[in-house]
Amino acid sequence: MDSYLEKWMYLRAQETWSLQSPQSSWLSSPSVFTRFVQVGRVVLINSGPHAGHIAVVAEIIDHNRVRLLPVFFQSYPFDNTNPIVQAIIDGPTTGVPRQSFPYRHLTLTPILMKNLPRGAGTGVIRKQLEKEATIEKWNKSSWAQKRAAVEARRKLNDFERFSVMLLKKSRRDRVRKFVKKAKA
Amino acid sequence: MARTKQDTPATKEVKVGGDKNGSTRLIPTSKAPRYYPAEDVHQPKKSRKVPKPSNLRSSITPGTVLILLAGRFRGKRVVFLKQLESGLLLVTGPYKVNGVPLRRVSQAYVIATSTKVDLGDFKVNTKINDAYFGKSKAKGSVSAEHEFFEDGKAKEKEAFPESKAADQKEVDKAVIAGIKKTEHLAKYLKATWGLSKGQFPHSMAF
Repeated sequence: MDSYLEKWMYLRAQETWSLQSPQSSWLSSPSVFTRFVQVGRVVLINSGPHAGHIAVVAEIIDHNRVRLLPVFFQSYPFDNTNPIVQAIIDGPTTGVPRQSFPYRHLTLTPILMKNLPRGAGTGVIRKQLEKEATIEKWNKSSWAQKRAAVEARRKLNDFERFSVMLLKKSRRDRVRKFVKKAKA
Repeated sequence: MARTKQDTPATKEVKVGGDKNGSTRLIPTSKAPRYYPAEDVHQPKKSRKVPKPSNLRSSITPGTVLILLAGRFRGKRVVFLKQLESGLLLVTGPYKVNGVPLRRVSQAYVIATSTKVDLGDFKVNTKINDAYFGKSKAKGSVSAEHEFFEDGKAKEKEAFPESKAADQKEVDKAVIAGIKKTEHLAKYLKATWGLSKGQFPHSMAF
């Protein structure tokens, strides 16, 4: 049992290290990647009831499937019964409750909250979100805006779709006329 | 032609000869058939069930624009007026806008859109009911040839009854007044509906 504990502590220490400085510790040369799964990373949720919302990685539960041996499992402070790579995410101002979430169903955004301590509580995260204006930053990004546009188009009813078609037609027509004029 | 029971009594009196035969005797006017089925023929039970008129979908209210999915006018967008007693929906194009006349359609074959035409307090004349759309009963049996040809020439098509044309105009007047209140709505009703690549009706909003 002692050897297990030792191994776990070793791995845990390594993990903590790697979380603090992803580029320097687990990659010998500077990485070509720019987005990492790290505390403070703003992520987009792709599945479940909160799909489409953003949240912040509060803590990484695990990132290596091999390491999820049953013994280590029980030693973990989190009740992680799902043998998939998970992170705790928290989005206090986006309506996402604190929960563990598999990476598979998350998309990393380029936004990072740098000053967030590991395992920060909901209140701290909320304060930090407001301070760094993270939500606004996300909403201003072209990614979020494109998503919003797609969503808005999808919600149009039949008549509105028809009206959009008419507007697009008139735009095409005007462009065509201007181009013809310019060419002449 | 056919004689009723009252015309002919069931029995008649006839004279019979012979002293001991009582001079007269009652005999049935028509002889019983010589043959009769040896076994009783099963009479099918008469069903007393009457189909209930279908409940109107909550998304369909007077003025709702419907998309017709079946029949001669499939793909057309029409305006719903009211539900008839049979449960069928009374719709109009209006005829002047897209050529769909006053018509009955089953709600199973329509998509209800969220677009509504403001009909105000317009009420459809009660004479426009299920019987209004029924065919007039043909008199006797007519041969197909007699029905379509006359003196070796094709019969001329019967003109649409003027009274019905007037009814159509009356209804359309109110509907068109409502349509004019919204921009592009007349154009919308005139256009036909269809699905293009990558569009799935179950994942679309109407």
